[in-house]
Amino acid sequence: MSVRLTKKQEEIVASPLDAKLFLRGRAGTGKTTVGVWRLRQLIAAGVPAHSILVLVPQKRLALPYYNEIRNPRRKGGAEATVATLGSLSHQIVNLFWPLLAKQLNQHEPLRRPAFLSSELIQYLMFKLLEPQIAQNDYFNSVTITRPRLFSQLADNLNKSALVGFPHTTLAQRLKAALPSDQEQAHIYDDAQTCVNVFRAYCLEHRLLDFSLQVSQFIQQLWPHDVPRAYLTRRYKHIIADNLEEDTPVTHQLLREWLPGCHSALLIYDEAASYRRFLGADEVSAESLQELCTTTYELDATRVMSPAVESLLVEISELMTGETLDAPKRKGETAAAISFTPASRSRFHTQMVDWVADTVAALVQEEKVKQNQIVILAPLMSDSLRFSLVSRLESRGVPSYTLRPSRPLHAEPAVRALITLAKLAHSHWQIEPQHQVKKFDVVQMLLSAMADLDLARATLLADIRFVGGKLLPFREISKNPEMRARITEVFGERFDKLVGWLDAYRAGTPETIDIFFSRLFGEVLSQKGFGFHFSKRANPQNAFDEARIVANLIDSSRSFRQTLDQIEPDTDTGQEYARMVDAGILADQYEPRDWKKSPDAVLIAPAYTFLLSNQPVEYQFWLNIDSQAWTRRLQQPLTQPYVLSRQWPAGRIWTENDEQQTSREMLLRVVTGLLKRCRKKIFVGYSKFDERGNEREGDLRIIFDLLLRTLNQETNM
Amino acid sequence: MRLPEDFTFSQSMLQDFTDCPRRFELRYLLDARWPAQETAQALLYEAGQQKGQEFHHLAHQHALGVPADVLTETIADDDLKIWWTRYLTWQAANLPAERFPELTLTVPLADSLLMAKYDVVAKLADGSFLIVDWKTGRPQKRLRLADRMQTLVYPVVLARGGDWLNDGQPIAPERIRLAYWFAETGETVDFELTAEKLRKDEARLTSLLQSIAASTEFAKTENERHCCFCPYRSLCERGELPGNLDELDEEDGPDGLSLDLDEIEEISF
Repeated sequence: MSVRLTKKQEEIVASPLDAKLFLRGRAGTGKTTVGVWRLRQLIAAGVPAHSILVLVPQKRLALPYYNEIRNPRRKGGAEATVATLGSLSHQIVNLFWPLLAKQLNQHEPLRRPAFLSSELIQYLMFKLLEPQIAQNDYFNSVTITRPRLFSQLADNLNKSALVGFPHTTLAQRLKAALPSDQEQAHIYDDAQTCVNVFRAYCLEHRLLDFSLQVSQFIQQLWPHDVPRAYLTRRYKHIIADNLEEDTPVTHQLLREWLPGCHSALLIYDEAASYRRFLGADEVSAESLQELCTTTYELDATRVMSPAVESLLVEISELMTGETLDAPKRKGETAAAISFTPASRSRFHTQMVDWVADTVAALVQEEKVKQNQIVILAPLMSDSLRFSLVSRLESRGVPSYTLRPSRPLHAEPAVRALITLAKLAHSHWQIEPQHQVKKFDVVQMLLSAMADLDLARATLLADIRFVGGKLLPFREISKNPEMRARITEVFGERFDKLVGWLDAYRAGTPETIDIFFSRLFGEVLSQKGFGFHFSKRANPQNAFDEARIVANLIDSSRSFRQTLDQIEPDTDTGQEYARMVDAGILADQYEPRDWKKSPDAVLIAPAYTFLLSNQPVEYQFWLNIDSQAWTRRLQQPLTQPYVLSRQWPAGRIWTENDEQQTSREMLLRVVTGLLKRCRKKIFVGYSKFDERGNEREGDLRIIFDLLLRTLNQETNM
Repeated sequence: MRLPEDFTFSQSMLQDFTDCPRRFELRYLLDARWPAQETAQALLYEAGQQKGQEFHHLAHQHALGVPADVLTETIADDDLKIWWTRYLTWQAANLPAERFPELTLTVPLADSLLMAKYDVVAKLADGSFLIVDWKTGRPQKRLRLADRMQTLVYPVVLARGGDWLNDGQPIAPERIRLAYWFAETGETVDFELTAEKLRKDEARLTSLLQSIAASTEFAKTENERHCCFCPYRSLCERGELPGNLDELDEEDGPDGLSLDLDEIEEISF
């Protein structure tokens, strides 16, 4: 790390090896830098890295620590452990589960539990709860999709584990704080019934979803002598970063662990707690200060230029109505902000063009590093992402995206493999709407066969897809004109695919993951087929497509292995295809090289960028009229504030609370983004939004006020 | 291709480079996942791997203090029961109660990092150190094992990065022994380190790391038999069908093949 430390940072880093330190401060003041240097200092002073635990709320926040661990100039030896509550609880439950076997299921005490991925949780909820929902007319006034409904049920269970209350009290807590109409009360009761059913099923079948994994760790194994001795004897030095983004049970764990540690560094970011919707609790985080011998505060920004800092003050004052005791540099603020010019702010596409042009100018004319630019929106839709990526690409600027997972079936490669799986398993019972149709065959052929065009793919599907089966091209004897139009080259390839499917059908069916893998290796990645690695202009595309197939195979293997344990008679292939069709299964695998920041412009939702905690020089804020900057996601089955440890029993959530939290949320997002900006923000505004509607969002109003203020300053 | 600054070598990477530089490039430099089958008997291979992982997991749990009798009750598979019984007998006679399971050590070497992930490292009563690698695949001959990168890397990394296990003092090479323990027989094949061997092995590893760092072309292996069990087969245009496990003969062993039942991923946070 080439950063030079301030005197105060040096003082903290050089604290005695047995010091327990609480370090607080705003974002961008160099707290994580201190954490990384403290890690280095401990190891240099002879502390075995093996005894150091770096605890973070999510692993992306540990990136600076990973970089230090992978620093080739570091001292040799063991490695410090980087963990989250999730990874720690997974590890401990996985290792020590025989000690809690009887809590899980007394009838079958010693069979290893299965950890459920979020996809498997969705599947099991679909399988288990869907019939009950239909039969009992649960959630009849809720209009969200099934995957979202199930994810809110899982979220409720996770809150109970992470905040630390019995899952059986969910509805009671929600109803007590949100006593609206009778209908809403029914929804909470329905949700309670569903989570109870799901939890009972998991216990009976020794299945651990995230919430059960965490609660087994916290409630059963952490108090147990053997695992506790392992953890506390091994990890004598703890560095916990971004405490404010972590949950009350993590804080409780630290509260019990710290007294026996040799040293600790607890890092707390003020005015953040962006993961509140995931159970983050800044109040319980801050309470850990009392366990530390020394508290330090860093207040000088190491990120923002004076102009950005001045902008931050102006905006904070506008948003809070308070006058801050902080530097404002008249005339300088304007240098830190730029707005879409009037000539390019009528339509959304004009604004997106302006963003792409401005980014290209920064990179190509001002020689700004690509990874020092981010483009943010409160929500990043597929269409906005595509518009940005394609415009940047056409201007020679590489970009990459961070965004929540999307359904597996949204990937053309996945749809092609699912279509082929259905054609190869004619005995599967498939609902009529998901049976293979000519359109699916055309799309499959376009993915599966190299260089095939839409016209030929359509011809092949027209004449060779008969009665739900693909027939060989070579058997077209009476229509030489058709053969010529399709061409013998494509005909041969088609026949190879059909021949492979026929041979497969004649044998014993494989498991679904092995089917996909064989098909990929034996046909689809061979010469002439869609996944073949030829010396393409961009070989990375071939790797990216293969990675999607690899993720599909991993997902289907995990699905098969878990389902074999609990429902050995189920045809896992058919079930898997059904779940992909229903959009239940999502690609939630790590993006490639997540530990490395690519040399490209980042396109991401604003919260995702905030949670990666990596400052950049330039930020583009898009869609400032969107309500999503201020509104919580619609979550009719849950409520993050009410299910928090800080919510007083008996207090009722009011409209005033809703407005106050919205204002507070916007303030935190805006100030959090600015604190992660070194030089300038560009505000992307258009009169009409993506859908052609005219809106006026809260963030736009603030920028209007800011513009007025800046103009007054200029005119003075 | 230039190696990333934080590139960390492991024995399996070096083995891959030795066997097929192109496979090394694809797997570790280009990070290319290529999800083709490695063998025609995929489920059999998976079952073998799972059994091996299960055994490693049991040994790990045992080393961390889960009582042996509790663990014994968790074993359903007959082979695993036999391996476990052999393990309990062997470890009682050869390992102290305090041992370091699933230990990762990393040392700087030739401007890179070299990492070793050990199944177990133990400090014995006489002050010497024993590295144990559990092998659940077919037993291997000493000569073959001697040629494996693992045999080269593990002792060197412990000698250079294990001082914290030795009260902060460097471990003398003569006090390091590597034992491959075979579950099929309950026997070990041992390799002792000496100062001279450490010097030579370190020089060989340095030279290998430097030659990889200097490489711009990564050639495909000349031994196309390796390709039968390699998932990149179709990418390299080296065939369509994966190899048969039952065609593996004594001479093949796991050497040089991508397929290795003993290649157990360590469990990490």
